[in-house]
Amino acid sequence: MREVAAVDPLRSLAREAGSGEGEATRRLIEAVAPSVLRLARMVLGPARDDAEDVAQESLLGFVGALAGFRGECSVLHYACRITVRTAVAARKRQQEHSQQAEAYAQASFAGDDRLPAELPLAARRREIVRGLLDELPGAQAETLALRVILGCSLQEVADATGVPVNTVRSRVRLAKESLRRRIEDDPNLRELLEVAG
Amino acid sequence: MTRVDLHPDELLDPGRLHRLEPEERARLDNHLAGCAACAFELAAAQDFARAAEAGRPEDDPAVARVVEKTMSALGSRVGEAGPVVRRVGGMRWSRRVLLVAAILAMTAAAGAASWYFVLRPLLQRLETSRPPPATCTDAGARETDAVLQQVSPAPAPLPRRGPSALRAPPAPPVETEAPPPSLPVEAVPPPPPPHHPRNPEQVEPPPPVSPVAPGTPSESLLRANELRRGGQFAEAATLYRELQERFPGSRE
Repeated sequence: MREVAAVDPLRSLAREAGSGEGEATRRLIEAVAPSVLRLARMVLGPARDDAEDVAQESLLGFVGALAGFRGECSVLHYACRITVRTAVAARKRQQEHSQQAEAYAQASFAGDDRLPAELPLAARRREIVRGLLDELPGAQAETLALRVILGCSLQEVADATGVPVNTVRSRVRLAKESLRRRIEDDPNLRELLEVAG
Repeated sequence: MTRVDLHPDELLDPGRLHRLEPEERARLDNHLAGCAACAFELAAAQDFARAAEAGRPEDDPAVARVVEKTMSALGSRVGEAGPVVRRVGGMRWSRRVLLVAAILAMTAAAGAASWYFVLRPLLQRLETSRPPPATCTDAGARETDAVLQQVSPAPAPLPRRGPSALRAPPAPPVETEAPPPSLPVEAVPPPPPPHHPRNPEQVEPPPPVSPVAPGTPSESLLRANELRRGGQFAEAATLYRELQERFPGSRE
């Protein structure tokens, strides 16, 4: 968890916004919107142009969930968790309804033909993670996104998804198994990782 | 289970990477050397973290657009444009008044419905379930009157109840036969008054139980019933038989 502060400056604002205070809601949204939008863009990737819509959907979900916020993490981290889940769900929806996105995801893991060779290594890794989110089952994809993109610990993922830690550990293991198969089946990707190592 | 299946996920938490003990760090490095998945996960997590630090879009105009669209959507959700409406205790006063009025209306409706559909039919059922007063049929009453006229000049006909009693004309007086003129009136003792058990002045000791009662058919029938209830079945049977012989067409 990267954004946790010792004393959460947004806690009182979130309390007021949770009780329906309009001005507090606006200030809270203005405070978390940059991180939410940035996170939505990271999960969705540069190829998607619906990051603002996903960010808005995430903020609406965040405001609606303020009443159930128990203060187990910082307010900003709470908003980011909701954003990751919303963005992963948006990717899943887009994959289901768009044949083009599915073909793009398959091509990404087939041989990186669609990925520009001049892309930095980090950007290629991020794109591989996004493609993996499209292929994994919903719960595994959400767990992987929370852990890799948002940097949540196992316990934080368990709190965010409402499942035991052992369930999170099992989902992480299954996601890694899929990732390992992808790496072994793709010589270009294996070479890329060896070069990076 | 192979070596790569035992991923040290706790050691891979990005927030802990800089707080690992030397032996933990050595164990993690040993695992990463043989597990491409964990190495990829760790590298990708660091990539995303660096991207998050580098690309802070505080001055991005898209942020302002997202904020305005979100606030607008929130305003339309509560039914009003603009910021979220201030609420008192989580609910506006107008909604509280409406809620109380709705509860009162529903309570009144429930009470009326329970009276109309439950209590009132129950009361009606209780009233109708009372035992009806004893009545006699018109045919039976007429037959009894006819028998009375034939058998004995009863002073008063049997009281008739029922709806026909209101419509039917009063029974004609029973014509009594005149006494024989040869007999002097003075010599004739007055006839004994008819037995009327309800007249306290005429209370007499009860006559001995006789199977053949000389009274009216109704009295004979009552007597037979009393005997039967008293366990004197032989005498009751005798009375019933005699009544049947005397009035074969009577329903009683």
